[in-house]
Amino acid sequence: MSLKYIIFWVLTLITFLVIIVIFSLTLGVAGIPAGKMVSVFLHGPGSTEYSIIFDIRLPRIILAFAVGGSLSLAGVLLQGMFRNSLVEPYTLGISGGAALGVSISIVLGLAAISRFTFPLFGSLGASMVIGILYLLSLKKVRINLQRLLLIGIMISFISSSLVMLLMSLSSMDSLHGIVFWIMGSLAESDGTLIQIMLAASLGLLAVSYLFCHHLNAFALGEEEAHHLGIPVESTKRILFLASSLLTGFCVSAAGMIGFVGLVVPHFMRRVVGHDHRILLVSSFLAGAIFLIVCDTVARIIIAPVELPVGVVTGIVGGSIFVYALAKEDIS
Amino acid sequence: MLEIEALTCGYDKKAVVSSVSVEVKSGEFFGVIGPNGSGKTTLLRALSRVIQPMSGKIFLDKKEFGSISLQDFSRGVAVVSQLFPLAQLTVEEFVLLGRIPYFGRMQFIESRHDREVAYQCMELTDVLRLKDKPIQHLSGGERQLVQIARAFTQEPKLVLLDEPTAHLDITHQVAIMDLLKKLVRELNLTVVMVLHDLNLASEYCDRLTLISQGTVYKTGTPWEVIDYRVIEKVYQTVVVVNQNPISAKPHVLIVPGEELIKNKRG
Repeated sequence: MSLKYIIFWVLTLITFLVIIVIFSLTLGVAGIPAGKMVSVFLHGPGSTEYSIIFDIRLPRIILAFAVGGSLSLAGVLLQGMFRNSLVEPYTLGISGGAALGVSISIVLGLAAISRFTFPLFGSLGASMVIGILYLLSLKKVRINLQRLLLIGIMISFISSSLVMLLMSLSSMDSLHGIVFWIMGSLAESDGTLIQIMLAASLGLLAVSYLFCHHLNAFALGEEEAHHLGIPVESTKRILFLASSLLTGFCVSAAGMIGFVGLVVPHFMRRVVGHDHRILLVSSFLAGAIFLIVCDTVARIIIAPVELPVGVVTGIVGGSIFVYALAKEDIS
Repeated sequence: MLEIEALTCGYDKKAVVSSVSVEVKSGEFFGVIGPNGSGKTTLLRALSRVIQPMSGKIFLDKKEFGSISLQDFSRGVAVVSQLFPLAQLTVEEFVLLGRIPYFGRMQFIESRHDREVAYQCMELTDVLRLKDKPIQHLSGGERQLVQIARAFTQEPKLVLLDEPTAHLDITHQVAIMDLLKKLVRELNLTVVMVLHDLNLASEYCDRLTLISQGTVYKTGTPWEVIDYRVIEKVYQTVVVVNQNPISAKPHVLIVPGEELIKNKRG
């Protein structure tokens, strides 16, 4: 791995990102052509177009950037530790756990206390599921994938049943809160929450990057990683905590968005290779690009009605998941 | 170099190896032999710090294992285990992973020196020609060579190997053992290896320790350990030990049960 290779891909992806962001800014119910955008910028605040771009579309794109990058990064981290490319927050039931955590906080009426309530409960729910998965399967030398995925699906079922249980028992107000939030969307009005999400995603990317050699060594198996001087258990704990936080924050900010952590790393491994020194950053950026594209599609495909972005990623990602699983069976 | 003092270790509080004491001298080519399930691999895993001693101590260069940081330990001791990883890497990428013990916290790219060491080790083991090949496409013998190249890339003083010749034909067995012996001499290393094959152990190792039911039965030169009384007792099998006419080392011959019965009648 050379520095040039890493810089090349990071710059390429950032270029892509900028193009996609400009595209996404111009598209919507009120079309603002790219040419007109320049004059909007030059005139500064005041015009309707300016507030559409800076108050509505840009915050949403920033949130999509942070959530897409985080989900994709969480996918890479989990895949690295489980040595399997089919695990990710959604397929392992971690998103489901986060959703359950957030629902509990709504029912308990804690949402009003602080804007950190959702991220906190979401992360708690996510780490609970990771803890269960860890106890059930990670201690084993060779992980049985079918077993792991089944456990993940069951955890998803159990959490969604528990969410429904909460819904059926809760008051009209909380019910409305849960439904509104589960539908999920990247249209977040709270600017501070978007800033927190962005800071958390970039911060956790930096933390994860410190463990890029550890993740590369994990590819050889935990015992081999130990032979290379990697403190296996503490590394796993830190990276599991990081993926719980990433998933918890994403789910609390944007609801259930599935398969980003599966599709993007899968694609990036083919493009840039398996080395985590490039895979972590490139998957983050590509995840951001992927979710911005999906959200733009969700916004405009049957405008003025908006699709939940999870629907778009679910259809695209689910199909790729089935394809990848079928291929894995053959080989 | 390596001192094992009354070591007891195992899994889940069940001792597999009990009160083993062995001393390996610097520069030695040391073999651990014993029947299946006698605790050879468990002993090696304790030496590579994968499992912790339940009691007893292990010293590397007079320093107790626990007092050496994991990173320093991995700079001094390399391990070639029996499992071949499923990872999708090229030979070069795989061998370069052996430099991980030398990376600083903020060093993400290997230095020119790291690359040179890796290339040197690939050259020594004759796998440089395979450097761009995915490791999953290698043959059994090549896999072993690549594992050894990675271990040497760690620039260790002590190399631990778990049956490096398992599942290989005699051509590759001899090639691997010759290579190890040559490298150990040239680089002034110490080797401890678990071997299944008594004759390979006898031909190549300076000293052997025979493990039986988790304890040391006998430690010594091949002629002291590969003695038909010792082998018959530990393996519960009739054997004949004679001498390899060229190397003058002891050689174990097995006797089929049918022949034994015929022999008794005659």
